[in-house]
Amino acid sequence: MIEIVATGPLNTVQDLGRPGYRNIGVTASGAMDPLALRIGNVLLGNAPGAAGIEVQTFPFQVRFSEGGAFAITGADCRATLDGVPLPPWWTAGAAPGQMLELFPPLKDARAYLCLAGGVAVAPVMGSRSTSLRGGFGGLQGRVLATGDHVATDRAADGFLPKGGFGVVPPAVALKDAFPVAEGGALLIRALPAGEHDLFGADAQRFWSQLWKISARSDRTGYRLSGDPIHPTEVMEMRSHGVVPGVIQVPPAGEPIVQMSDANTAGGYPKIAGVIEADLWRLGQARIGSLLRFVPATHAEARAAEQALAAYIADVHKTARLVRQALAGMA
Amino acid sequence: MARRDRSTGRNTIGDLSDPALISTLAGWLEGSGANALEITTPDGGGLKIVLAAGARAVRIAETVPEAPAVRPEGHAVRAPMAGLFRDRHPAAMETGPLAGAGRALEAGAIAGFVEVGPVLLPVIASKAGMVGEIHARAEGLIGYGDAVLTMEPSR
Repeated sequence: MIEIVATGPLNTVQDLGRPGYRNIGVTASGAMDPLALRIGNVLLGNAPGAAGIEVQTFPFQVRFSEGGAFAITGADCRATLDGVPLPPWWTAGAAPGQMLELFPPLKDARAYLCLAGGVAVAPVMGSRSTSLRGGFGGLQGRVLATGDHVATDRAADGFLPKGGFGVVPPAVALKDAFPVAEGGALLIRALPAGEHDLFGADAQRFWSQLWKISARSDRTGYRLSGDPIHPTEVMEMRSHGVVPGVIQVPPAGEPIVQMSDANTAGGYPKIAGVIEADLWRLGQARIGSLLRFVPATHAEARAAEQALAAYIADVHKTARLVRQALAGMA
Repeated sequence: MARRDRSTGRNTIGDLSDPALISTLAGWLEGSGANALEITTPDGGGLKIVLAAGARAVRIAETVPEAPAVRPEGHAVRAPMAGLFRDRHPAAMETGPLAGAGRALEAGAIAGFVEVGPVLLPVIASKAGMVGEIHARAEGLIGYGDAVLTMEPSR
């Protein structure tokens, strides 16, 4: 059990989302950086789909009313436990009454606080994710507020070394599998989508230019600003299904990337789709930052996905062995 | 398990919580064919080492060379496990080392990390003090119980 002592707006309970209900208009929701949430849960021995807290506004402060293990992953928010700094991507134990504080990260956008056992809220349609638009899931379908109490399910047994332990963050461990930003811009791989070729010469400008993530960006989608692109002819399209990662081009010509709270349907032409393995990086991109889309093949998308899976499996296996070895020595 | 009692009146083995000692004993135990040993001392201290079958992926023994000599007034901050020593967090390579020579550390402060695959273990200063000599080379391999650095007591 923790108590929220201070929080900015828009911090919510999230798990890996609520897929399978788009046909009835239900947004999938889920963590914007699902990799960070997964690793947080792995560090705690939680189920991979356990719910945690997505923190996107800071400072965020909680008191551990009963104590327990927790993990902080995602953006390095310079967390402190009773004033003592914790490294990023770290799990540690909190004694009853201890205060955990997360500060605004200097890079990346979202931090994840996972709790041993996972956040205990009633699942709705198979997920504990908060759907702000629907007003359900998470804690009463709303953002977290000061004074909220967040309960946890039963924690897995496991030895936690004094001082805790952590992981090499994926941005470092996986730097070979994920293209390095050139001149500070994020490189996001995408597959050309249905209406790509209808953009004619403008399609080339979609791939070649740097897009800036505008202030009108949130969990639903990122609106990009840059040199507008247009299809060669005005298009009338029927509404069709939309998933996170789809890049639509509205008539004004500046693309929208659908994110975790993506609309379930839309009618704008789709120029490309971000590969799923790169969505976590997009989920960590900050408003005002620059990105460039890189055309990818299905094989490249699969290779990136395999690199992610291998990292998660490696963390899982090594964390278990290290815990066992340290428990034997303790 | 055969129990062998030896009464010497006092603990002549040394500090039973010393990782280097535990590592050495674990190494002997591994070579002996037995799977557990227990030491109790008349002053109430005790140490039990049980070899876990199948837990070999993380080798904690045999990699430990002689711990570097430590001046009596200082105390060594030791590696919690064998791995790659990191003097700063791998995501913050542009910063300086966590425990540069002459730096004051509080008890419980992280003086570096040992990287085991993707996992990072903290190297913790158990007592407050000033960082004296640094023994471990950044990004070099380090053994379980090796002295990472020597801390001088704060004045």
